[in-house]
Amino acid sequence: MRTANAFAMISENVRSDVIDATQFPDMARQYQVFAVPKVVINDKTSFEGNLPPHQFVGHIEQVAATNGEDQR
Amino acid sequence: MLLSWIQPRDAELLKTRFENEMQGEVSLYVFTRDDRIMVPGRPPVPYAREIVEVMQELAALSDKLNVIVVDADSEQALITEYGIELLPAVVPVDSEGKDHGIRFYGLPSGYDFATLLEAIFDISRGEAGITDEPVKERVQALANPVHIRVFVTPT
Repeated sequence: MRTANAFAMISENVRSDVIDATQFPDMARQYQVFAVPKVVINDKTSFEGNLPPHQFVGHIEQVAATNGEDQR
Repeated sequence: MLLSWIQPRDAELLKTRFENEMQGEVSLYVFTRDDRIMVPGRPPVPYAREIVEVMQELAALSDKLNVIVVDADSEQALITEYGIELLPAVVPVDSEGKDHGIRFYGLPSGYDFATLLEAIFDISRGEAGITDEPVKERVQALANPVHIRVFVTPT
């Protein structure tokens, strides 16, 4: 999760929310959190576990290539 | 305060870390709500009061760390400005008041607390915790809004 925060610091376009799944069970259910850390990008793609930064940014690039964030 | 959230031994260690690692000032916006007011249908805020106490204890350990408590009910404009989606929330900003896009939702504890500390140090130094230049360049090249949600548990 430090990686996500670092990305947010590097780019003004990136926002990083660190959410305690135990304190927000409804949200965790909504995002189908069964294991942590679980990373959700623009509500479109997700992965579980810690990825090295170059793989993490690869996931973001894939989503960002399509378009911005969906309105929920 | 009769009860301490941060143990004296940890407080000493944290004090030393703050002295060694803090450069610029950092302020923590703590968004919460008076949990003595019950509104039917509105979900309770977990650790609504505790989060204020913990953050104030933390800030007492360094003259470069400040806490700004924001009441969600009376400060709707700030909730909107910072895009706060859940309560309680902690948003660290730098000495210029710049928001770096990092939010902690819920009372940070355990591993989460360590991550908050890292974010405070990084913002204080004005350096992201990544040294890999090619990765930095790829992140800087992101042209559209990216919203990352990281779900964690304290342990």
